[in-house]
Amino acid sequence: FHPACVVNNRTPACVEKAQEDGRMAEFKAAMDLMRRLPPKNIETSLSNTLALQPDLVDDLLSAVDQPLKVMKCPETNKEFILCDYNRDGDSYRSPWTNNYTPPLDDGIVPPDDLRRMELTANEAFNRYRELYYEGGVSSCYAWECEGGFACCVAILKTTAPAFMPLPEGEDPRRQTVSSGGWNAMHVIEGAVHEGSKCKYKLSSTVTLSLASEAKGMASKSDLSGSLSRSMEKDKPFDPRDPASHVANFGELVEEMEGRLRDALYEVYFGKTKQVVTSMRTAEDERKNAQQSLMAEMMRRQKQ
Amino acid sequence: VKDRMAEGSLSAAQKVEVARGFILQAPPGEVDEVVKDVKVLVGTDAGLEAKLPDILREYNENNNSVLKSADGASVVISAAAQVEGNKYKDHAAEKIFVVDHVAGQITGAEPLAVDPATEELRAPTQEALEKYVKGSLAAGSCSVVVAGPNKLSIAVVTTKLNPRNLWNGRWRSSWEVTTAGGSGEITGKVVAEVHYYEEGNVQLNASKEVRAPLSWADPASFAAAVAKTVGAAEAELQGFLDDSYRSMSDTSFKALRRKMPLTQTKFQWNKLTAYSLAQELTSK
Repeated sequence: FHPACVVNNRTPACVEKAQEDGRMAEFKAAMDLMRRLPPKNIETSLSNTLALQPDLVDDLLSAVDQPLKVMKCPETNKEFILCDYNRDGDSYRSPWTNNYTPPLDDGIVPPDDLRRMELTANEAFNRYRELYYEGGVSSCYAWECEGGFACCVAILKTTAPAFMPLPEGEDPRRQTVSSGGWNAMHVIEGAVHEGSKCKYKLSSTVTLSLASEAKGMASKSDLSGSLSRSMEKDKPFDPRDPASHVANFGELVEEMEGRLRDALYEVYFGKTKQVVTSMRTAEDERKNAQQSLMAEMMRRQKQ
Repeated sequence: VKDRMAEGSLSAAQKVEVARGFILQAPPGEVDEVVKDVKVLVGTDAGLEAKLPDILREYNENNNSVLKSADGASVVISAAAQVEGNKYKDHAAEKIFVVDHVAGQITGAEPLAVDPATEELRAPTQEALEKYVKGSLAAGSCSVVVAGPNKLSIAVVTTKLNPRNLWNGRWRSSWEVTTAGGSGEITGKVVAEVHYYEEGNVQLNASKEVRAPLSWADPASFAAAVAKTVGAAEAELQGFLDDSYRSMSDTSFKALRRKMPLTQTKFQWNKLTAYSLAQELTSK
């Protein structure tokens, strides 16, 4: 288990490591491929890539965000998220009990002070999640890192297939059913300097999958993918208060999620739709465009 | 994932199969980049180079790629249009085009004899579809090919490529029409694909399937019936996409994460301290 300190789809630490091991070309090719292949097949694409290049396993598992999975903690019966940051071999560490499932004698756990911070983070983000997500699951995992600490915040929410209300008198074949899933993975790296200041580097990826189907029209649509962003901020922190770091990076995560939500909305429902319209113009739109043009011309003639 | 790797490394044939799987999934306009990546990952000793022409032939046929020549000729690639090897027929141009799938170009041409019997239905159908494509698709192409004694194969396609701005799109539909004395059937599929990859990887994949009876009195009404079915199906997919975008954005997206909490205020991070200490004390 080699935790990388700052990870997203353009990880500087992973790039450095790949360079050291002489696998730069393969790593870059794999990352480029992951950005082009259909996002909904990312697990298969990743496993096939690793079958071709087994040595890339550590680099790719930490640099490529996979769909988040959930497991029930056997002792507390509460759910927690499975990701690369709480994995050791094939076992996963519960943020509730700090124990691995399947059990490990010497599984990696954070040092005491980080474990305290991790508990605070989990509790805070559970409440944050209820406010913004009104459901779903969240988990935070902390680890020691060169120069400071790192912590990830993972949030998972799905919506069951739901019928979209159809206007009165509309052709019932047009009835659509939609469903979706949101995976947020935020990784924070914190480096304390000058005793009471801390530099926080946040790398975030939100993976959003949306599916829609109108059986009556034998039509279906899948809109899936992810966007990544990063930011850095220096903040004063109180070394006596285990909640200080969490309050600081919590604010950054909240701001980042707001930005990513807006960006996702713009790309998913703005940009991709524009590309479709640039390829084919619907009959109505052309008629409307022609009518507006005629109306404008007549208005100008009258002036 | 690690379990699968413990089984040992892949054979050359398996590596080529993985490569084929990747290349066939390349988004519009990005085949060359995917091939480049795959070559690095597969390495040089699996014999991939020799299999590339075949893999790219499959890609071009699946996606109705439009290949061009230096002097402006173009041909729509489809399995039905294949004469043999790398040769594809274009009835309207009265040519058989020789292509290089790897280079993505026409490399030569031979004459194609026109069969008046099949042209009777084929020619007006192509004309009617070209009119439809001109009116509805941006820089679209279409071709109607004789696929058998009573069968026509139709491809309609356009791509909008903008790799500089990190997006690409493709709209296509492919059809088969069986004709047997005045009545027949048309089956087909309409597909819309978009890839956006600035600071991420977002892809739209939408499709619609059609199976409908067809009847006509003469070649002109046949052509009109086919063009009408194709146009209606494409318009329906576009209408479905409008509905779908609206339902995804108004229903699913909003149900995943609110823009702001119900309280209309952000999370009170500065209030964490007191809560956390209390929690620590009560858990002891």
